[in-house]
Amino acid sequence: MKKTNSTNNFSDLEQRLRELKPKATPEELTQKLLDIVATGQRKRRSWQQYWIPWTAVAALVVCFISLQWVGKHQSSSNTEAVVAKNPPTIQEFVKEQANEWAETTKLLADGCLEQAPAFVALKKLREEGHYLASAPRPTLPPPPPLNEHQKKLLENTDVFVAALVSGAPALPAIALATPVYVQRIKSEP
Amino acid sequence: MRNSEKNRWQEWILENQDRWLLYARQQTRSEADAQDVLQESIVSIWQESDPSESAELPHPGSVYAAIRFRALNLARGSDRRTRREQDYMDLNYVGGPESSPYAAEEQKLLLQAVQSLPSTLGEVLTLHVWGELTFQEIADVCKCSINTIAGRYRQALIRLQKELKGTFSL
Repeated sequence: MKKTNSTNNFSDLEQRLRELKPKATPEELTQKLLDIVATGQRKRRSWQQYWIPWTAVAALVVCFISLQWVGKHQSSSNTEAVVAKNPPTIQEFVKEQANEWAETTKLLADGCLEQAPAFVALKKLREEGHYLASAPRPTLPPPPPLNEHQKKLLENTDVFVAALVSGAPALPAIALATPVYVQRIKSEP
Repeated sequence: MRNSEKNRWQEWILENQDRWLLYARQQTRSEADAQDVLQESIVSIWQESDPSESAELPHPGSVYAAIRFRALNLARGSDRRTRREQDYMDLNYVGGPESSPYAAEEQKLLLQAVQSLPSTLGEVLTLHVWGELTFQEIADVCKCSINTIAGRYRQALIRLQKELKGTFSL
């Protein structure tokens, strides 16, 4: 009950307060305020307002992508420069080619009915490769003697393998034989 | 700017300028400061408003918040010693209508009682009674909780009631 009386009293007091009104604004100030909305310029809220942040974001993205690309390009060019600066020696090149050829020959040998000639050629090729890599080789050693069966199989094998087995120079033979055999292996089902 | 929008804004200013100026007077120390603060607030509200034709007018509470912000900045930049010399609620600028049934002496006592309130209580009373803001809107302007605002308002009424006891039939 007491609370109700208090609320009523507040209502009466609030009513008395609300009957008071703020004094009127001076005419000069009123005119100034009206002039603000009549002639004042607003800040643009079109796309131009968001142009600067979006441009900054786009520029950052472009910079990031450019740095990534330049970094990759620079690292690859550095690698190429190092390779060009330190070209492989003839021994390293021959050894690398011999190893590749050995792998190719092994694959070739897996498809043969009689694998003995292929393995003989592989072994010889590896020996030649290691020999070339370790020391200069003035002349190739004579080929090992072949029995009749091996000779018959060799007749049916590729001419390049036969040339290698018979003691042909390793580097030209490899250079000529590699693309031929790679294509042949790829064309096999 | 189209005329219809300009008219809307001008009507909005004419409707609310008296209560805005009252609050500006309460928050500043002089009439000149109050008018400057009000002008700056209207300019900022106008410039930041949406220029599209269909946009609604800003809420009056945003103007009170702008006035409060600028008045605080103005007070920080001035001499604090003289700040309290002229505690500028200045309810002399609040006058009753001619049709008011109350006598001039009673009005004067009421205004003096309101003027004697602490600034925090007077601010809430001004915004709620003459600014016609809700407690939530006042809380947004003053950056206080709504319970704080409601408590201040009640405290202001209690103080006024004690001050005016015997003067009116309260």
